Amino acid sequence: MALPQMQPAATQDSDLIRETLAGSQVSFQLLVERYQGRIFAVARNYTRSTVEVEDIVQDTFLKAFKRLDSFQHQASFSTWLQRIAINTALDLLKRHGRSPVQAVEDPELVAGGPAQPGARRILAPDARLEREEIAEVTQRVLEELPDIFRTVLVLREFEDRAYQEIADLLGVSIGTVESRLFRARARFKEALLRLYPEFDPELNRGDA
Amino acid sequence: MKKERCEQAEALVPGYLDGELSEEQAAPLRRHLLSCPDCRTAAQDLTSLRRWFPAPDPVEVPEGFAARVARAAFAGVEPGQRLVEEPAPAPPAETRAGAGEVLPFLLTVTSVAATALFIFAVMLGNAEQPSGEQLVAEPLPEILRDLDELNGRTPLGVPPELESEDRPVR
Repeated sequence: MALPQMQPAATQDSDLIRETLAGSQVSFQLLVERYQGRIFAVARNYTRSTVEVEDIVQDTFLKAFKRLDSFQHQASFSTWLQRIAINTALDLLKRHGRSPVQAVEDPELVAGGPAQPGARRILAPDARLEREEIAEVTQRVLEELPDIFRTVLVLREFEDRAYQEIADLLGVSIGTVESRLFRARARFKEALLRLYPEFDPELNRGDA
Repeated sequence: MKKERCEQAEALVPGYLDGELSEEQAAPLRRHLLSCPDCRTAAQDLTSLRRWFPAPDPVEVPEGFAARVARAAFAGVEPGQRLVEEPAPAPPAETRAGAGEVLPFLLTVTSVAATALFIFAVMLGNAEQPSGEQLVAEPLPEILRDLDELNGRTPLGVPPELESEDRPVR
């Protein structure tokens, strides 16, 4: 006996959106429940403060609610929400002075670009480092990165997103994702070695 | 040329490690990596970098989060405003005060009431009193003059303070 077919999620999203717009608080709550996990996962890539993570997620859903009538169904609701979440997180970092000023240096236009990823080596975190310590170092280093590099790096490295998914989320081509990822990794290494020279293999070799 | 192959490999290694290459692209790269220690080292460096991004813990959503957000959205809460539920209005002081706080509270209320009553009483009294501009000297009663003449004395003026005290209250 064939199992009853589940309704496609996209249809359910559009139903819930329509009902929310018609005044159903319950439908909006169901939408929030469906995507809150994903949005929390996005938000925590940008801060280690649980209060700030919750603020980002709350603001994301409140903004989505306010703009729900402008949601275009070409993109998935999930993608649309995640874009809002990323922008909300970046705004928060800017407000708190934890994001480099973009205007000084547009990384996409810098002639020559950053050092090639292969130019410098880094050490993997020491096995004795606690997970919390690693996360602390990583967040500190990420704060040194311009928004576009930071975002592509956390989506790829923390969340294991495919290039195509990142491209859809950011509204850019796969080639741009590859290029940004390449530079982002180089920037991450450079910042890591600058802030934590102890992870430079050359330095460690000298000590040994 | 080996260098050119290494450059090509370097461009492909991230996609290879990210699982983004087709088998058609991956096969020649794999062969190159097997034969080129430098490119293997470069690839290993990328994996070292990725270890700075440990898999995060499962997401923990606070209990009742969606209900709070939905309620706030429909209540017109703006993005940026905190969604902390408004605390219940504070109960009246009498019910809030503990046993040890009742006496100081009563003393305060009594003193305030007494002060208010005193001020009110003073204002009421003043309202009945004439102001200085309203004080008018009355002519001396003729009887005093007559009595002085009878006593053969020069008439004496009545001190002003007596004048004012004797004036009828209006």
